[in-house]
Amino acid sequence: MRFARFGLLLLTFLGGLWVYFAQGDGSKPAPEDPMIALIATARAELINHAPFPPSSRAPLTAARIHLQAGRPERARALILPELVGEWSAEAHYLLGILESRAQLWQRTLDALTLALTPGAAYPEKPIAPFRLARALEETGRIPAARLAYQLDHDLSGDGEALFRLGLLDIEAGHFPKAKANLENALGRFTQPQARSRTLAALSDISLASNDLSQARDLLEQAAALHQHPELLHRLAQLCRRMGDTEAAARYAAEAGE
Amino acid sequence: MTDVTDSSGLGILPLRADLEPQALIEVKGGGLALIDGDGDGDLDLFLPRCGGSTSDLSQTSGGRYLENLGGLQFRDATATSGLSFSHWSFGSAVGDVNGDGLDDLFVCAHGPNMLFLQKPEGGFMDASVSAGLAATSAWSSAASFGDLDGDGDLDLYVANYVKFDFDSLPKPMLFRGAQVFGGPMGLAAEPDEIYFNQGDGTFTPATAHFASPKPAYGLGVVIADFDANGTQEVFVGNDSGPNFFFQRKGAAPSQGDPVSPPQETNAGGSTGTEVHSADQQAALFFTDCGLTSGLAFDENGLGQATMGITLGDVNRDGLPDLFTTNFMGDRNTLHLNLGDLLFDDATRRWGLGQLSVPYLGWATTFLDLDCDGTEELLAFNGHVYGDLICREQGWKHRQAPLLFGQEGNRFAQIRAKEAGQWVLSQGVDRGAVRGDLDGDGDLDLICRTLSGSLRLLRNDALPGRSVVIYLSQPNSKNPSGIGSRIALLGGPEPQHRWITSSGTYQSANAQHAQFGTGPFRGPFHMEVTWPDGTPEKFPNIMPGMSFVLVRGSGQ
Repeated sequence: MRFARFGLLLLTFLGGLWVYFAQGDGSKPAPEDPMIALIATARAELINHAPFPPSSRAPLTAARIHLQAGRPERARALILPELVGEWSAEAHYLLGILESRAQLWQRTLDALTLALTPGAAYPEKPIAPFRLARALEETGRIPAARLAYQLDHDLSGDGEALFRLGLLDIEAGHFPKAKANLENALGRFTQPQARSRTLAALSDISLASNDLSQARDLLEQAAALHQHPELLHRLAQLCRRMGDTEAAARYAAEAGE
Repeated sequence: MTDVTDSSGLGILPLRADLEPQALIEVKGGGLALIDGDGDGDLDLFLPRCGGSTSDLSQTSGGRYLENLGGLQFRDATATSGLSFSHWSFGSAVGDVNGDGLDDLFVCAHGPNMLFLQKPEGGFMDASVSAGLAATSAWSSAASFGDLDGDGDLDLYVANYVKFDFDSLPKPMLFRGAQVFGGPMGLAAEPDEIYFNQGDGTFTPATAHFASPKPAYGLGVVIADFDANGTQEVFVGNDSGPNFFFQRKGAAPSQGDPVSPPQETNAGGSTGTEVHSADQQAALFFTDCGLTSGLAFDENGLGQATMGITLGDVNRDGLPDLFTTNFMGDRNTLHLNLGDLLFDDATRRWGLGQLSVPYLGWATTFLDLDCDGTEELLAFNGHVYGDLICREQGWKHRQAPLLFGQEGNRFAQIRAKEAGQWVLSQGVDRGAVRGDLDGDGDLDLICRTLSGSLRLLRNDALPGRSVVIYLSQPNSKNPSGIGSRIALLGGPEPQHRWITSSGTYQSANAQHAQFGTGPFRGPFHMEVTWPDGTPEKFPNIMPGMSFVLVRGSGQ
């Protein structure tokens, strides 16, 4: 037991070192944010971990069913008694889902922090970092959010974390890295909506370099995949900017302006 | 910046304790105004009173006037100021409406608005009725003066919010699972009001000269020449819906008249379309180009809350870019001015989006705090819902301000280590004003909370690294040049400022322009574009000094 604890501590330390040195954007994480250490610990635990077993706690299994069926209050009633005790981390994970659906991000963060308690086992634990990252982003803790997205990407390999990282890269002014992340995400997405919003984000990078034609091309590709009013509004505005009033009027009408 | 509130006399008691608000009207105010109300050359402070309890209206109405005694010392001079009224008041605008060389004060209220004319001997007199501005019973939130019709005097745009009856409070509603007071969604919007100045400080309704988009929840308004063509446009920030952006056309479409083309520039003459006769004024028309300009919505076509508004030139092209603050869960927004009344929501690319999402923003301003020649961007924050609800929901009731510094084509947050402890000070903040309050050449700040507590932040920038500019238009009905653009040239990069009568949030900043010059010793020169579009150059501007630039004198 002592060796196991030592091993976890060592992993945490190594994870922390990785966190510190592996910031691809060159920014150092805010040392005062305790989430950095928590994510490092989660990384140490979750990377290369075997799949977690299915939940064996009946009320929490039932809560999942209510969550899936869109019955949050019934789910909450089952989750709350489980927040203390053996299944606390699992219950906090489910609570985190509830809170994030209500866009109560600080409460989401509080719940997911406990959901990532080292040693706790429940099937969704490997996807908890992504939900944690969203909450961190929405509460303005960007360096920690970035690390959590990176951990999610390393765990899942899917494009969603890369997409979010790409957006954060744009915000940070790291356009080449943003482009790489978004193109990487695009290569992994198969759903038209996900591809569409990724193309729209790529157009933002083109705008940053004042390449209006490329930005328009990307937005038109995005709109072809998923004709959303927000995209059409952006296209209308870009066409106005390019002096193409005819296209601007067409897109504006389609956007319902 | 150093918080010197305690030693300034501004640490007056809050108008009320921080209560759990019971109604929308308790949380939407208010502003501040800097005005020299006694002719002694320094800036005094007007504080509208609002945001009390709807169950005890008498204790929370009126306003306070705080006289600047010099040396950043203030005293409450409300009783002798003539600023006596009993309404709940929100925004204010400052301008010399009768051209007598003394700034006057317009106060937005729930109920009749008020115009206080400054008397030559100091103090104010209520001219609301005689000026024709007291007829409304609406809840007005913010106002701005500007020469809308081009006749040289100051007209008035009043942004109104919702129809609100103290005797019939809106029903509570659910917001993210919490029961909160109702509104503004679901409440009827109050149409805005516009008035043309008749040249003598009396006003006639001019709303008919404006396109009438669907009434909206107006929270802020700023008037400036956004396309540098010599006419003033009006940006109106609307809560939870499309913003308005009114552009002046020469003639009313209903009359089928063509738009008057701009006149040719003459030496020392106007570049804009000037309107002098009553007939021409009658033919004026303002269209709402909010949608086509890109200012109505954010980049995704979504309406925002648009509480605070500030103008600055972040890309140094001489056109005013526009920054707005918004509700929590939404981003603040940077609208880059592309020219020709087109704007680009460049918030994310400029690094101003995600960090603002947890905050509920109010007063905002560009200002060169460290006098290095580049403006910082400041936003004050604070929640609308009470402390109990916020704690329950995991929101911050009291919030710290956000300060950003510009690095090339983007902004990055400046933290306490560089800015000082004041950026950590959390409050339920609302309005704020900037101005050189101690005459040392840098910009100081006063911020107010919802309850009326004030914070005075003294700027301790290195001396001698800035220029402060006052404008003077002798024999004009707009002596302080509201609506002018001022450019500082001759330094490493051009800098631009706009003189407006309102800004931040429901507030009126000092009507002078401050330029940081950093280590450069000059001489610089100024180019003033007067409100009618007339440019004028002023040479030999040296750092560490204040200048009054007099129109037509070149000096």
